[in-house]
Amino acid sequence: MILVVGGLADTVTELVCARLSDRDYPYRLLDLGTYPWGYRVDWHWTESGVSGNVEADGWSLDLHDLSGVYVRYLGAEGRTQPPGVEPSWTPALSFEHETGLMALLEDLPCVVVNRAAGGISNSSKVYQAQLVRESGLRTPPTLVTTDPEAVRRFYDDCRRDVVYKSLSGIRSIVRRLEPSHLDRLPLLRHGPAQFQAFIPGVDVRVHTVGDRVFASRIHSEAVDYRYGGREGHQVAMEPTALPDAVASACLSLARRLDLMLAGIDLKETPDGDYYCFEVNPSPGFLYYERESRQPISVALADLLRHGFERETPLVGAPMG
Amino acid sequence: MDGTYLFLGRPEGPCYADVRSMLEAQGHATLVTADPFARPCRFSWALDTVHSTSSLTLEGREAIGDHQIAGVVVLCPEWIDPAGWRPDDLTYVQAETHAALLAWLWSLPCPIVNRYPPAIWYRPQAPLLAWHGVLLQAGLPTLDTVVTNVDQNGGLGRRLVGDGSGAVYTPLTADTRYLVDSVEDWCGVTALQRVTPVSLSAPHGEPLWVCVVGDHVVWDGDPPAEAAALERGLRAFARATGLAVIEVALAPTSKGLCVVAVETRPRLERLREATRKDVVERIVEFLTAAVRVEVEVP
Repeated sequence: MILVVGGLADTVTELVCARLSDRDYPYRLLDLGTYPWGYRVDWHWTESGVSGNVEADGWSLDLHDLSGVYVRYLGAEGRTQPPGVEPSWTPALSFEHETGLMALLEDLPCVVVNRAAGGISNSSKVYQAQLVRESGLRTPPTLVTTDPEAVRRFYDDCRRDVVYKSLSGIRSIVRRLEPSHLDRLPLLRHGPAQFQAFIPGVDVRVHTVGDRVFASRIHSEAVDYRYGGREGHQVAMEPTALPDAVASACLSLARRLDLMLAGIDLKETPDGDYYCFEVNPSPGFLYYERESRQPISVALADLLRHGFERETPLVGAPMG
Repeated sequence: MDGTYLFLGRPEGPCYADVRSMLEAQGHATLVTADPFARPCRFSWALDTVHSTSSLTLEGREAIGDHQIAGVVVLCPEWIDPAGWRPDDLTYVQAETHAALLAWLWSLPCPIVNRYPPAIWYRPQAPLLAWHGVLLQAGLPTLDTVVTNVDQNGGLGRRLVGDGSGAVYTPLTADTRYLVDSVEDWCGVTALQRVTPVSLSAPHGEPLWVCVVGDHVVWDGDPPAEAAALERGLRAFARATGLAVIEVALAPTSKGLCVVAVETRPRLERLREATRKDVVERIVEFLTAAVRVEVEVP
């Protein structure tokens, strides 16, 4: 049995459910929009590990029967207001019951796509960059600084072709550093910012699913193709093959982060080098599957059904 | 001079004062900054596929580079004063600052107390339940715990301890515990279960704290009879977390001694004076070990 943990209104979760149905893989949906109301959970942590069950109207699931779990957490907007609870209490209650859920998923012995502990590295892009270097992929020349003079030097060293973007997990649009922006550099006194040499080439989005690799080549004139439409740029996508060493480095990076499913942002330069910018632990792969027509969700469904040999996480970091 | 020891964060508590004093007494230079990214400090870190070079300038000082930093003690982080900030901007700059600090610490080739993995950095107050799997892997005894929203009319307490002495309710997102041992208490738990599953475990006795510094285990009092086996598990647990200094509390339960708390940020103030002195010596020993650390990002 497979457990899908997510929101019905989330299109990626909906796709996973649809694919599981297509392939006749039995699953249950734990709808985070209404969880824990409407569900009965009884989970026991002992020296034998974790056991117990989840029940909803019409079904009951023993945790021992799970072959895989897919989880995609919702923002506050995806949750319904619980009955009889003051709205001001809702965030704290959500935090409490999602913490319990995360602790459970961390300790289940089956495939979990994805456990939270591995994905949290995405909260520091520069931390991730150090993992990227060690995996064998390239990291763009990067400057993290609070010093306006250091930015000016970096800007000149990079032939005035520099982008800036967030360091943390807070999503930002990658933008070019224009000469007019230099006047705002004194604002760095408030905190550090990340600047990177602009890497020319073609964006490649890689999804790793267990030990499978799906790469999509993205054609766009936008600095950040994800937001290309807003700036009037067309975005086109096609499947592509990666050099073996690059595919292998992507798999190694995902396994090192304990991510069964990962979205890895690469750029192939005109010289054939591959730079890596980020590893997304909860990728919205629907967009890429639809545009490049690659069977990512089929591979995911198979992974949840048939499992995958999980390496012991490197750090027993808590998440729950 | 062999480099400078940096203390990052709010300068308070014995981990700051005692460790700093001992380092200075041994002739080491120390510097303290609440926030290396706030003015008047200046910070720059350049990173690419091969190189990583950083520079930190504190007020009135020369810039120090990576290899001039002999060691780092990470104290409680300084939060940005919210005055004058819009909430969204404050959240953003706070997240950026923490992300930069975490990453920079992993780039430094010196001993650090503590070089936190992201999962601990971002969740320093993780509940004990979140450590269950790691504790088990290390061979340490864990508390049996139930997370449930099934109303069992007080049967939970009986199931947990068998003798009707109740259970401990521990919110997973707060550092508090409540003994549930009366009909009224169980009614409260049942009411709470209508809005969230609750975490319940067996009651325990007085905790005994133990601090692991590198490979050294320092008990805050008389070691228990099973200390030898526990120390093996404690060292394995500390290694699994990747932390140089970690504190663990063990307490008697109906099934014997169990781990009842894990503290990832050294809070030496609760230790007895003799224990604290021993721990401080071990921390200084760790920081001043002659070997350079080969940092491998987990």
